[in-house]
Amino acid sequence: MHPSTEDLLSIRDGEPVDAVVAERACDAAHEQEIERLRKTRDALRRLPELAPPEGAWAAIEAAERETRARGNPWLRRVAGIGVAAAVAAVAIALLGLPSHPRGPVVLAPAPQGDDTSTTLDTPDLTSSIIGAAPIYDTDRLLAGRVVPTSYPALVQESARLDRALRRLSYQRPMMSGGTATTIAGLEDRIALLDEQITYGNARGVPQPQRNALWGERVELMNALVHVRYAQAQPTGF
Amino acid sequence: MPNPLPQLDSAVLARAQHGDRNAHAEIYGLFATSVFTLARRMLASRALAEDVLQDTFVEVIRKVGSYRGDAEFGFWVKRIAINKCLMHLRSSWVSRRDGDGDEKVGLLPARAAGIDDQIALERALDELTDTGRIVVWLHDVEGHTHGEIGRMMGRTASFSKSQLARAHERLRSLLGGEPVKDGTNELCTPALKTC
Repeated sequence: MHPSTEDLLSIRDGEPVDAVVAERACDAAHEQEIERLRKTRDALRRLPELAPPEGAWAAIEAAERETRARGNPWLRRVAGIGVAAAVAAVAIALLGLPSHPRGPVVLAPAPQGDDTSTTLDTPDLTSSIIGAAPIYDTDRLLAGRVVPTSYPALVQESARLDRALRRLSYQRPMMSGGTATTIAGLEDRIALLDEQITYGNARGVPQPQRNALWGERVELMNALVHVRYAQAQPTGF
Repeated sequence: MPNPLPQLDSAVLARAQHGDRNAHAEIYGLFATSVFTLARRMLASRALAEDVLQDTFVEVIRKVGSYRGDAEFGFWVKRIAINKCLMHLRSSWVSRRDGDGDEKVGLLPARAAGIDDQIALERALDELTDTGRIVVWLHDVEGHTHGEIGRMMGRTASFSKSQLARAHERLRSLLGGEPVKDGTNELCTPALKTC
C-alpha cells in the first residue's frame, strides 16, 4: 500500500495513519513531499491580510438601517407604489428589446482610448424606482445603467449584475401575477442567451456577435435587477 | 497556527449589545480585515468578498445582543463570515457564473506569474475549485478540523480529507511541481522511485 497525498497530509498534521503506510512514508522521497506540503501550508498562512474597501462601513451602516426600516409600515406602503411603477416601466422598456438576439446590437462607438462604456438610450428606470422606494444600497445596485462595449467589460458588467441580483434574491416576498410574469420572461430570455453564449464560445462564433450577445445579456440583467430591486422593497397591504 | 484574532474589550461589547453605533464601528474596525481576508481567500473574488463583508457585519450588528460568550467573539464573527461564504457558493447564480469564468478574465496561469512565489500561490489558490479552496483555507490556515469542515459543508470528515488532498495535488501542479497522475497512487512519479 503506497502512501497517498491524503496519507501524507495526515502525517504532516500529526493525525493517525495506518502503520504500514506510515512506514512506507519514511523514505526520503515521501519525507520530501511531506516537507513540501508543510511549506505550502506555511506559505498559505503567510499570505498577507487584505484591507477591506474604503467606505465599506458606511455601506454596512446603510444596509443595516435599511434592514431595520423593513419593519416600518409607512415605508412599506410607500415602497409598494414603487414596485408597480418599476414593473410597468420595465415592461414598457422590454417592448423595445428584441425577443432574441438576431445580430449585433448597435452601440455608439466608444471614444478614442476609452473602451469602457457608452450610455444606452433607455428609459430612466432608476428615477421611477428610487423616487418611490426607500434607498437600499442604490449606488451599488443601480449604478450600472451604462453598458460597456468591450468584451471583458461586458462580461464583468454582467457579473456585477449577477451579484446585485443574487443579493436581491435573498429576499423572496410575495409578488403579483404581473410582476412574476415579467420576471419569468426576463429570466427565460437570459437563460436562452446563456445557452447561445455557451454555444458561441464552443463554436468560435466571431467576436462581434459574442459582444452583441453579452451586450443584450447586460441589458436584460439590468432590467431584471431593476424589477427585483423594486420587488425586494417591502410592500404594504 | 493561524494568526491570533484581536480581542474585543468587554466594555465595547456591552455598549454594542445596547445598540451603541460607535461600539459597532469599533467592532468593525477590529475584525473587518480578518473577515475580508477570509472571504476573499475563500471565494476568490473581491466583489463577492465585499458582499460577504457587508452581510457579515449587518448580521453581527443585528445579533450581537444575543452573543453569550460561548466562543471567543472573533471566532463568532468569523463563523458568521464562513457561513455567508458557504451560502454564496451554494447559490445557483455562482454555479452559473463559474462556467463563464467572468471573474478570471485576464488572469494569467500561476506558472506565468512564478517570479513572485506569493503572487503565484495566491493565483494558484484562486484556480482551485470552490470546494477545494475552501477546504484548504479552513483546514490549513484557519485551523479547523476535517470533522468541523465536513459539518459546515454538510458533508463528512472523509470528504474534507479527500478534497484537501486533491487541492494540494492541484496546487503542486499549478506551482510547477511534478505532474499529478490520476488514480490513488498520486505520488508514483519518476521523482519518487520508491513507489
